[in-house]
Amino acid sequence: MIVGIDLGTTNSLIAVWQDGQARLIPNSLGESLTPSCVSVDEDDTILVGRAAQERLQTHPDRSASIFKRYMGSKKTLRLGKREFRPEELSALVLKALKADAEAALGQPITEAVITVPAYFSEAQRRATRVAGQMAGLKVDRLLNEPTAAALAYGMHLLGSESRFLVFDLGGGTFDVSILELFEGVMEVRASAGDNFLGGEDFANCLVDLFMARAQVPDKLRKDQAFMQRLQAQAEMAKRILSGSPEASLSVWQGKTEYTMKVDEPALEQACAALLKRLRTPVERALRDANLRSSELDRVVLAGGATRMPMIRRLVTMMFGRFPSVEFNPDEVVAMGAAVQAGLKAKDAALSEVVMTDVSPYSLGVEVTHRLSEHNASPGHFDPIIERNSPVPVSRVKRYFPVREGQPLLELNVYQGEARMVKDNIHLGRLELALPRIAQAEAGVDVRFTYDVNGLLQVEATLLKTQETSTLLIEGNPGMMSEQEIANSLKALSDLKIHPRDRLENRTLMAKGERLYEQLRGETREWLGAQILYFEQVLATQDQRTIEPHHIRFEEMLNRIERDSHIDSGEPR
Amino acid sequence: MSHVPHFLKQLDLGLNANERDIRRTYAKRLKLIDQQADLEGFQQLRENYEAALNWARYQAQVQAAEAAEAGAGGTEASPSPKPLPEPPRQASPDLPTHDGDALENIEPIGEGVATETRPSPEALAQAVFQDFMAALPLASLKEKIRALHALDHSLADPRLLSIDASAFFEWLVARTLTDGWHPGHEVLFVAAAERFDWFNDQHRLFQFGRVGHFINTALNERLTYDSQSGRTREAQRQLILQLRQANRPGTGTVVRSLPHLEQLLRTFPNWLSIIAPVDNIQRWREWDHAIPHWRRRLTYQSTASTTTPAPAPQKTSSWNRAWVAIAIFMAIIQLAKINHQSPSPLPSASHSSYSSTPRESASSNTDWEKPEPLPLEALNPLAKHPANPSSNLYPQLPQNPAPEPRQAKARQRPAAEVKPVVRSDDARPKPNVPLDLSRHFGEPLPMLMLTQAPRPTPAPPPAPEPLPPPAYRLSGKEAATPERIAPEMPAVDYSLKPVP
Repeated sequence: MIVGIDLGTTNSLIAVWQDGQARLIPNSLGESLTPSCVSVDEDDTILVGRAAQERLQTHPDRSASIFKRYMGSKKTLRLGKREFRPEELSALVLKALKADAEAALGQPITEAVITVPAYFSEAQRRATRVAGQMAGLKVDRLLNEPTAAALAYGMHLLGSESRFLVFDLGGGTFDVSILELFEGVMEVRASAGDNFLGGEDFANCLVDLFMARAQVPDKLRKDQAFMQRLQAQAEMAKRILSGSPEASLSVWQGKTEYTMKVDEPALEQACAALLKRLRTPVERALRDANLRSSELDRVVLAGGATRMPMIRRLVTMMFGRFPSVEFNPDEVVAMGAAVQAGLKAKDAALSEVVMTDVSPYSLGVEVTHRLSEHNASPGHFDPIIERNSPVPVSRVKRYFPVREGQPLLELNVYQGEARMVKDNIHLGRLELALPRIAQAEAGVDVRFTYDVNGLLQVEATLLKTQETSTLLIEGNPGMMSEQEIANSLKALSDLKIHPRDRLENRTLMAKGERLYEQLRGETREWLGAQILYFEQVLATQDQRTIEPHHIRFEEMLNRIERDSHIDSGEPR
Repeated sequence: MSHVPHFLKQLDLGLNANERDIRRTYAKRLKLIDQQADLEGFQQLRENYEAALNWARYQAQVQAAEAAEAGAGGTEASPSPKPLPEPPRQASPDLPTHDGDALENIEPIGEGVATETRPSPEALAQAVFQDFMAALPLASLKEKIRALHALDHSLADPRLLSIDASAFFEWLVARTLTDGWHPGHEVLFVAAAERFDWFNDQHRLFQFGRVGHFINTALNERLTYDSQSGRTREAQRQLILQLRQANRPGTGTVVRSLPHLEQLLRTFPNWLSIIAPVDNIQRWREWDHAIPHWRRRLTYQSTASTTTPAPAPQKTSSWNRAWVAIAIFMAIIQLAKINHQSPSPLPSASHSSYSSTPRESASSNTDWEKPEPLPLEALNPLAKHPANPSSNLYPQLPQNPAPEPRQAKARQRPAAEVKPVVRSDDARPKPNVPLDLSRHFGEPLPMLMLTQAPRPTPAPPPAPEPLPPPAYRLSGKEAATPERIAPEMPAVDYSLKPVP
């Protein structure tokens, strides 16, 4: 069985293709969204999901979130005693999702289609694959997120001829893609995006606004726990503003309470710079697809952040029409991943459907322009695969050494659109020893092959000798070597994962602890007593005793939360 | 045309195939291919499909055009909703004419407003662009920052919220720049390149048809300019300044500078036609022509006498230094000419006075070749082909030439054989760019040496190539030793300053 996984910045989901449709699998708490958070408990067991998210505020030094942003880099995050790589944290989330799916489907899961932002680079894609590998999943196929969203919509519109744009603003990334449907072909015409623009950034704007308006001393910025509480408040206020005209934020620090009231126009003003950045990828995708916005049949929203009214207004203005929101924007990417999983498994219901994707960025090498005998201008970028070429694609270009008698040819491979390589992303390099032959004969054919997963293979062939070298993208600082992966795999299997069947109670406890920290006065004392009591009940390990107490305790926490206006961090 | 192109044959289609047939066949074939495993098969199908689609669209356009011609003799009655008069004017309209033009453009769109209730994106963009031009007398532009502010102001205009409108505005700015130089264009050019991100994203420009390709080439030329040594750049900057002057410079200046100007125009044709009045070169030639021989000789002798004793920049004024640099250029050219022994605009008697110039003082400039006057229309390549097609988005009805049938021979090459270095990845109809690029970057020009493998004759690309085949040499280890290859390589600053 192949599953489809949306490994998101804030939330992750898992879905399968079953009985001719995509179906989401709920986690042990019965929710389809599992927060992409990992926390190390006091007894060194690993908590994933809602429980870890609750602990972000109470135990910021033992918890991590939004680590997807660091995928493919060498940055590590410290949780308790151990340093974690972003791949490892992602692997822990994937493991939790896999366990949920195995419990729901009653069979082992070994293979997955995982979605990545279209703008994920080579290193980030490889890191995602490594994460899958460490979670015990064969990841034969990576799928671009906007393509996945488009697939979900495409399934919906199958049989018609249609051309639409998917506007996918997720927690941490922004992606745009344009899809054309005809004769059962789902063709991605173009995709573009911004890897560092998402719902989280809008919440951060609110945090900055709060710091300024509520006159919070700057030194509190360094207080992790305070910032986590504020972040959660900002996130909640952002969500409230999607439905009501005004929201208020309040954070306690010691005996001081900082508060701010904010309305939608104020939030929009604070986010003006972010809204501007949304235009560029849209323009890029439309131009690459050679289309005007009026030639689109519809504009489709995906990603939780598109719930914000200002985003919807902006989209309406940009395209001169109202966008469609037929699916839950949080779930559409996972649904698309499940469709791809079905395609991959050659499901009978999908035999008449085929999808083609594009390379979201240009790939090329560094070249030197020769101006004269003694003057050359190095550092120019010469694309071999132009962006938005349908994949898989393989292209060859021929190059010559700069000088007569040059002993070595250095091929630097870059990804990006800038004219100079220093503004593009360096992917790796290949050195080619040149024999002692004339410059004009020392031609080298460089072949780039870019597969459907967005992984690149580079081959250089010396014309004279037909000798071929292949680029190994190693030594890249963000990349894990085979040895490191093996070590990490072993280390991860040594970690104790919190038992899945007891996660529900653990999550409740974590929530209780968070509320305890946020409350003041008598209520706090009282809640402390209740938590102690519930702990004692849990210690009996008797399911029949625990059950009624669990329900009662949960209701009580919800009531406290509602009455004291404390954020639950839950999406609405 | 009774010959069935190979891409149709490969799809088992005939000359009567339309777009729908092509898509259907493509869809059917695509479903039989495992994209992950059969790269070759996919790529081949894709190439045939794209070529066939372009062919079908072209056929449809031709038929539509014929039908329109047969139906109504009046060309104005075209149903096209975007009647932007595209052909750029010959290069000497002044600003008032501009405004008049813009007004003309608005009118037909105004009719559309009445029926559509909402103004079209084109109309909105035109209106904002008019405001932009009205608020900003380009001639008064001295700094990039002002141009940036003006652009920002216009881009923040709520009328440009629509993606189509803002793209159109961008195109209008681009078109203005390619319309021939007016005072201030050199500032607007760098500001627009920065604000519209043309510098970092060439693809953005490609959709603007030949206007976009023209600017794209100009930006590449600008980068090449930037990568020269500081001294060379300064000398070139002075030349550009001279070219902008309307008055006749001194006789000595004419004699000394003209050859360099000709060379400069040859090296940076697109860029210069944006930032300087390139047509002035014709007047320079006339002035030069009128100068008697004895007067030339005098000029060279005086130049030589100032250069030889003090090539180092001891003089305080930069003006003087520029003269020294120019004199050095002249020396180089003369040296080059000794080798070429071709007829020159300069008297051969002056050769002797040059051979004494220290060779090393001009190490980076040895390739300034003997200039040949360019035909005037070559100076503004855009103006040369006013009726050229462009992208289907911005300028009007594209008339993309039919993709040339690629001979089947090319297809049958064994996989192991080295493929020709042809950019065939993007076979959608590209605008026929009126740039004879070999003139800019090709063999006759010593500034950029081409190393691109020649295209094999049997396989012409399916669509005209808009860009010069990038003729670069790969950077190698050796190239990295800075003092040998690029003596004074400046870091290219993307926050460009207008030149000069």
